[in-house]
Amino acid sequence: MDGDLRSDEPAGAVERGDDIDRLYSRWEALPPPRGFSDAIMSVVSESRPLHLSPAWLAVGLFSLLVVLACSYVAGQALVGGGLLDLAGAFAADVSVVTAVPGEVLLALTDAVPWVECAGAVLAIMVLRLSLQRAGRRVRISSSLPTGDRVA
Amino acid sequence: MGTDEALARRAREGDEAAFAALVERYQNSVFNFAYRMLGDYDDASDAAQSGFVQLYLSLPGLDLERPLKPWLFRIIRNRCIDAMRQKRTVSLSAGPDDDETPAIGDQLADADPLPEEVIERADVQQLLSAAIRRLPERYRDVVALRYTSDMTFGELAEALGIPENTARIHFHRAKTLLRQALRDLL
Repeated sequence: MDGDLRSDEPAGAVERGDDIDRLYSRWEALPPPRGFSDAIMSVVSESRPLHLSPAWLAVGLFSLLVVLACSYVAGQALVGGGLLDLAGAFAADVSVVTAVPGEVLLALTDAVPWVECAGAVLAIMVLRLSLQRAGRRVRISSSLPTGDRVA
Repeated sequence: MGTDEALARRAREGDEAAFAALVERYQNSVFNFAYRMLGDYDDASDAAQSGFVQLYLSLPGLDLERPLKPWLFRIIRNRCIDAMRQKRTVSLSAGPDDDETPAIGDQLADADPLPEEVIERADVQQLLSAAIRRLPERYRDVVALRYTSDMTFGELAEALGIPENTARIHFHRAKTLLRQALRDLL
């Protein structure tokens, strides 16, 4: 009567032993909802801990300081180098630009603090890179909850 | 594809594809086990999904020298029990929740059976599920696991956290109760 009760084979792998076994062999499996595994994987991806890399954080902080410093120096140089005066003069008399465009271009080129601007741009790029690298989803770590079956 | 434990090891190392393979491997049996336990399609889906996520989060501390499958079903069973408790609390004033169970005939992915066959089959499925739901909890999970997961009694016992012989006795007792329940239902 107890059919496959003594069997250590999986239920589906043996001939159904009794009436109940045979009856439940007709029990049909339902398909999981559409997108079942995708939903799980999406949660799993979100569940991965955000790992902060101290090295990249330090680089990010340093580059932020460089951006601020370069921006300040560039701003000072823009004002001190006469670029604002030049811009004001060109705005007041646009005909200068059309009359002597070469000189205007040279004057502007001389007035722009290229080194400081390049430093600021470079520092912004480094800052962006370091922010991308500093916080990223990484391999799951051992600091996560483990349930009751632990090593 | 590798063994469950090998996939779990790779998943632990950050290989999401390995975990996806595990989900793919067990999604049907896990979902059906949850459905047999809960009798509700949506609840079963929620329980099964959250069980898989819990498995993923538990990977770092798992002892992968032991088989993974019983552990997975143990998680799902616990999720189902939580869901049943929650539902019991909510439905105290709402009446029986059997009304919410969608018609099984509607859910079966099938080719194109004749209408009489659909009805007959749906009736049988309803009957089998109803009989299981009449069982006390400790018998219900033994039967649901045995008939949906293809586990050996050893694995089944591990999943339920009971000795193997107890699992066998529960299964035997459950069958007697099932026979009785089916007689009552017919």
